[in-house]
Amino acid sequence: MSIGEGQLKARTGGKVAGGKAGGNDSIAPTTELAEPDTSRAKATVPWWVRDASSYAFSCLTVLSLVTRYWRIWDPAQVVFDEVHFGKFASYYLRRQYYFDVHPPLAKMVIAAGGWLVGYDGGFLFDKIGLDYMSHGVPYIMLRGWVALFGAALPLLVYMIMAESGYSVAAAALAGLLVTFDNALVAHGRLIMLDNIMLFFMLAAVYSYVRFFKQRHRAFSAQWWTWLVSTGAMLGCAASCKLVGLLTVALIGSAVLYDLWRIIDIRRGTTMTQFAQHFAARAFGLIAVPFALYLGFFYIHFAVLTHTGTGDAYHTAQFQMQLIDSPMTKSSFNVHYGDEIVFRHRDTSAYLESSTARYPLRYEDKRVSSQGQQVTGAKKQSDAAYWRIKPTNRQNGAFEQFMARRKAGETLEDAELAKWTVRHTDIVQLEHVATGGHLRTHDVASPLMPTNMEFTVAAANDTAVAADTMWQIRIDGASSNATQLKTSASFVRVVSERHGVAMWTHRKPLLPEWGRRHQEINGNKKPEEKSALWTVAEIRGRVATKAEQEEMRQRVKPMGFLAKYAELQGLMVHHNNALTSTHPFQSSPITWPLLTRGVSFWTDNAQRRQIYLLGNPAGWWMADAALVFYAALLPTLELCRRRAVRVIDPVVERHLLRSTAFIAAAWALHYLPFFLMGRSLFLHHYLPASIFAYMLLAAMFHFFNFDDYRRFSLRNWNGRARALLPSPVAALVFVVIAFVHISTFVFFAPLTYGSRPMSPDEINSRRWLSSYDLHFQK
Amino acid sequence: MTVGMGEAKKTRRRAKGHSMQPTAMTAAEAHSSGDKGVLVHKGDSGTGNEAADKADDDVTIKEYGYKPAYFGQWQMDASDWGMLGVLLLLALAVRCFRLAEPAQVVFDEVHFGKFAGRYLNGTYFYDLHPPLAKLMFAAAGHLSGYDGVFDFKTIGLDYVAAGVPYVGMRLLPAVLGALTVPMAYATLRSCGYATDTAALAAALVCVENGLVTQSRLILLDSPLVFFSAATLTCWALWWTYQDRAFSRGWWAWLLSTGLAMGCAASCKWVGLFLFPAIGLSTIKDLWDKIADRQLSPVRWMLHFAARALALLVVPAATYVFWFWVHFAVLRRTGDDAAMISPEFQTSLIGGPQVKTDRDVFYGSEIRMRTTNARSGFLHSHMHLWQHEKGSGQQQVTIYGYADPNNLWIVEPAFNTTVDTSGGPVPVTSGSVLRLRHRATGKYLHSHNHRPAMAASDDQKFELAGYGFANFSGDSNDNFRLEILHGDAEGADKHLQAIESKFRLIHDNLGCAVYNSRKKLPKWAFGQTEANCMRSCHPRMSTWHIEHARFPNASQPMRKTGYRRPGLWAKLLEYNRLMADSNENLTGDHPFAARPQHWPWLRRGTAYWGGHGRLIYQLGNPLVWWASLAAVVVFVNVRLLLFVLAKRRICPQLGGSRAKYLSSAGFFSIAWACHYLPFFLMGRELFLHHYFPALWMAIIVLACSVDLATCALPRPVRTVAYLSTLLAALYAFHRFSYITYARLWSKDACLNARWLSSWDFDCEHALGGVRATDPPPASTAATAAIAASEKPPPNPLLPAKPAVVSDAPNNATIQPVFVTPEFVSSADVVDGSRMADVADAKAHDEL
Repeated sequence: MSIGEGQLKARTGGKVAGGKAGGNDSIAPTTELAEPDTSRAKATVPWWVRDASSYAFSCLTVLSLVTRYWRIWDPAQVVFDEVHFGKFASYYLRRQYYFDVHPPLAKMVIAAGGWLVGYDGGFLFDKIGLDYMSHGVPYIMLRGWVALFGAALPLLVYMIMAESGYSVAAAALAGLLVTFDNALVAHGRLIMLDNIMLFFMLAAVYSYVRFFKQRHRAFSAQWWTWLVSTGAMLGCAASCKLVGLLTVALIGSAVLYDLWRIIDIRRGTTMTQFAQHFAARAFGLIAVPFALYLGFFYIHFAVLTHTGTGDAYHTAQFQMQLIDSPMTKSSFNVHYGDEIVFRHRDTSAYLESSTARYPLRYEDKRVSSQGQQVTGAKKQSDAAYWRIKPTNRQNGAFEQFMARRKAGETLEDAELAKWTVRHTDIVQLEHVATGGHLRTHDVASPLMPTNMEFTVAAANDTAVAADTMWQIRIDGASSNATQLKTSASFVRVVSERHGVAMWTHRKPLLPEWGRRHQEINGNKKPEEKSALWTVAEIRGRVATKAEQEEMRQRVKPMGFLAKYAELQGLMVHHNNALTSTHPFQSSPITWPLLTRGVSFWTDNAQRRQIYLLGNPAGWWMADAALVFYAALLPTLELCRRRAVRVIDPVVERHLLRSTAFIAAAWALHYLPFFLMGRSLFLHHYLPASIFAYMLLAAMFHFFNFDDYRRFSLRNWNGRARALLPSPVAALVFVVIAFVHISTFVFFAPLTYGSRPMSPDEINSRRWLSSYDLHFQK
Repeated sequence: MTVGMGEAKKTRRRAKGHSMQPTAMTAAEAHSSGDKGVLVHKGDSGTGNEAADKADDDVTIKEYGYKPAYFGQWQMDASDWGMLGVLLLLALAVRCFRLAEPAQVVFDEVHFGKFAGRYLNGTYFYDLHPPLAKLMFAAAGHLSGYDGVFDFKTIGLDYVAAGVPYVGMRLLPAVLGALTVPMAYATLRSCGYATDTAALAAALVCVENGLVTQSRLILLDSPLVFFSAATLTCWALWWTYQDRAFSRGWWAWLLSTGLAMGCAASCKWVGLFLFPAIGLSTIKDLWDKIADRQLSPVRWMLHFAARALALLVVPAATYVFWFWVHFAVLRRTGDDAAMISPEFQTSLIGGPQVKTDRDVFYGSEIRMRTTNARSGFLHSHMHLWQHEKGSGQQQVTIYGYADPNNLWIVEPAFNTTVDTSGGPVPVTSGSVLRLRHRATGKYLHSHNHRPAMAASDDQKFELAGYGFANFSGDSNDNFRLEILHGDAEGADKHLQAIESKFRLIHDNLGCAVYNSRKKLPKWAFGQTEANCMRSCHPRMSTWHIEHARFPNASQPMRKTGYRRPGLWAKLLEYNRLMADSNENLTGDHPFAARPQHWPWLRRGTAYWGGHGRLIYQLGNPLVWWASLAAVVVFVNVRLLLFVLAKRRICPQLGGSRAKYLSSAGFFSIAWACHYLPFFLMGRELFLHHYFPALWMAIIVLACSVDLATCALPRPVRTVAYLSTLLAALYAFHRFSYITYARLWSKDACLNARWLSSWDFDCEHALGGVRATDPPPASTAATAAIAASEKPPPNPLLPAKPAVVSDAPNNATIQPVFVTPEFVSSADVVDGSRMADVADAKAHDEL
């Protein structure tokens, strides 16, 4: 702080200097006066200072390309999440439907890269460590394509900083920090989503900065361009991963702040003007992104037309839209008298029964009915067949019908149609192997005292007949005429007398006496989603070719919005359900401190490994900058409260606007993760880490330069006499850059997995004992 | 660059705006707390440069002038005393009505009655709430003659038969609940409101069915709400002393605020939410005061220090004090003692007293214990790892109870010996050793084999006992001793019982003997799994020796034992345990409710029922919904006023702007502090967690009613107040049946379901039993329960014949019917289960 404070004092004189060209272009308007004679000053500036910006930009371009493309062909194996994202790209090229919790854009981008180089999606990236060469995957092209996005990040960072009015040195420093970050490089040269998303995020931020600088020319063509571009980039970012919504939140808060300024009556805005501003932003930043988001899903559905691994997540109607869906291949009407198999939709358990009975006393001392067990089995067996019988036998007509079927008579359609099972029908279910009827009664089930026990009652036991009546409720049925179909219907089986639905759950399983099957019990909330079953099969019924074609014809087409709504709901649901623990997951609190990395890939033979780790030196320096900034703000506010003027208003405004924007970007891309219950990984911090680097550069600028806007990128005013105005600043720049780059190089073997390392070398890189690198011995 | 004409105009207009400013601001606005800086703009004083001002199109650099915050003033007079007295009497009447009904254990009285009994016995128990409220119940019980014998085992047990003076115990929450009524009055009077508004708030609190239900039973929430309300009342009273800083009254109310806050936090941790509520207000006040140039920095520091003392130090001291009482009272060991550390246990009368040799030598017999979990001792027995892929070697597990199979003998490493000619050789840190199981003679062993409970990890290895006759073992028996720290001198170099905390690292595999905290299946007798794990968390691989004995010692050995923990150690351990329990409290209570359902009263909690009567905790829906609406209205009004201020429109809201914004603002923030944090909690929650927030919302409601009627003529205003009150009374009466357990008809019950989600049980409790039927003799019911081993039959279900026609040979045994409807909240946890859950939650890996 001491350097800073000294300089702050020196600045308090309220300097009025500097020439101004081209209006209020910088993000921080200044108190500078117009000074006409800039031409002479311009002439005295040496060429290497005048064009410093261009040189810095070019150098960064080269460096970032080199860091991303160095040995991009190595390792020629599937690394970490390439397993998923490579696979998804392949599915696009095969046009097979898959399900993923992330929106489609980034995966489509990868797939597009593959398509351009003629990859046919033949490889499915099944396991980490599989060889690319022998499978003929153009992985270099795929990785190179993703690396293009990765290589653009430092340039975008440079442009954002420069446009925000930081010096060339500060902007270049930010660019360098991002160029030489191990985590960004490791992610940026593999087939993964994060760098594509980061690209769009930074592009959105850059567009917004440009947009904000156009504020004095509201509604001009440029203003509109940057507004729409911001919206478009936001839409793309959110279409890569839902984390992109954090950027939306960032831009959203900035817009609110902006509107807050505009509505100020001292600005002379009328309410009409304000409404126009508001509407324009609503269009550009809400309508445009959302339209894009929907558009990518449209493409997603348009490309993925065939059945694939993602089918099972969806409703029957959705699945039947897909070409070759097994559902359309076997969807028969169920008729009374059929022997059918019930499969639970969520857990795929088959409803079955056996002659075994419930034990008299359970472990918790509760008492059972000792009835015949009804359980949910993992595998389908003969014990899983239930004959579905009507409760209204129509004076023996049903028995006649059954007799004729048994005799093998071919029945007319009209005759059969009389005996189809329909929505809200009351039925009985006869267990084929033991001959009893499925029954529930007011006895607590083995594992859940709140749910009813399921058992099988003897067929001739009329006393309990009321307990054996079941109502068939077909999910989404529009009328009582809806027919029960195999595969294609989801159905609830609800006790007519007790109102409980047949239900099962995976945990806990029944103990040994129940052969570790799932418990079947009566759930008092029949409307629960988990009470859905399908009729998996009718014994002996297989579709012919003609039947299959006919069934295909019958499928009702589903609109795009309906499909989208269904998929979006599933994505949110499954994203929240990602709670299973992963050995390398981490909690957000550890990310800025970089206490642990993620092992991406190892090669035991050569003792090589790729270990995702940020640049420890860089991350820790950025943390220090964050702490500095966090301490600076209240200090300044305190001084102002006591009317002590410490720094120049221009500097202060920049600190409270541009730098605060960066700090807010960091906070908004980091803090929300604390609220997320799902399993989190280090790579979730990558967006925040970029903003932390930018804040480090901003702090570098603040403590070493006493002005802002005259350094801005394309707004050359000839008064930046030196790129680095003082030897101290130059020294600080060199020290930060040197420490950062040398740390990068030191950790590079872990980032690139480029060479075998001895245990000593490994251990020298364990700067924290918690870096669990492989081959430590 | 020249200044354009348009811009010049703009500048002029702005200047004009400034000149208009004083007229736009009224005295009341100057008092308002929020808008400073926006309107109090000192404009272009920064540089005094018009061009600079133009360039700076933004009016960002604000200058602050000090404006004292609004505070109410209240001089109590005789009418106020009268009002307070009347309100208290009314509240007492409402709370004590039918206090003796039902004469049975209701809902969580199961827990808190029991705990009161434990205090009177001095028997140790564990509960996840701090002690104060339970201590108060114990005191009330003691005064009314409860001896601590009756154990409140299940809901529905009869008090009269057992001779429990439950009315005396219930009187305490009733009185505390009644006191919150005059407090509401005092709070609003202190905020500067007239008598009618203050009385309205008090009346609404008085007839809030939920608060009444809560304060008629032996539950913690009534003391909690009392102390929360007391905190806010003291705080409001303290604010009336703003212009008399450091006067005696100022100190008194400030200190009592802190005291009440400490007591609230000592009842339930929900009381901690008072700290952000009061804290935000304090910070804002101090922050404003910084800008007061009249106030010297020294004086400001005094203000700061006084608040820090009263609002941080005093509550902390209160909290610690009640724990001190708690530990002092509970001196005897009890069932829950297994949850606490052995050090803590030894400090209880009747707890295990450990006395052991201090130094451990080669040849010593030891029993080693996991240090950071309560799982138990390293154990082995004559059974083999013979699950699916087990190695077939002898099982090594962790077992919680004293057993000869927990004994191991320290021996030197494989193929080495130690020279014992110079007397016993102490075991040093870093040395390699073997542990021989005394009972079976096998060596502790690990090898490249996946352990029973590991899924797919190359980091974990099986721990087994290995060896047989005429086989001296192998190098896989070698473990390296790594002493992490020693609490006594030399204990970090030489292995000492109790003092040395160590890890055992397998010499070949580099893995540490690890407590996985997973329960093994039946074939391993449900004991806890121990395995050998690489790069594991040291927390779960730390051990200490609880018992050591060197056989054939030639001279007496130095002895040692657990040191008795001091107050701080106990306090810390207990609170950590509470935090763990709270975090891991999951359950499937049928009436658990998530926070998003509370403010609109989606459903209540069933407490008790039988013979045509019910207790179902449901608030007074009208008060409940109106108070929520008041908070929502405040938030919107506040936002609207911010925006309007930007347009330089400053409505005075009938002259009560400053009063409304400051008091409704404070209580809305307090409400938010007591409500929003629950969204972050994954644990099981209940409607009763909303009650402190409800009290605050009712205050906001009264402020809003005042605001809405302040511009109306006097009679209209009176009518409005009375109709509000009458509506509340009507709803109170309508639902008083489930508040007081009055006889209720099934039709009335069904009619009272204003929301379809209100699930008071009209079927079982009220159907079938006519209101005129006498309740069954309660003594007979108790006797019947005592006589049968079965759980008591659910009082709600009509008696049913045994339905098990298909179990003829067991016709005497009835199956348990579905769904016990009244379940005490899972707020209190079965101790032993909790410890396991808490441990299992800790991370396996770094």
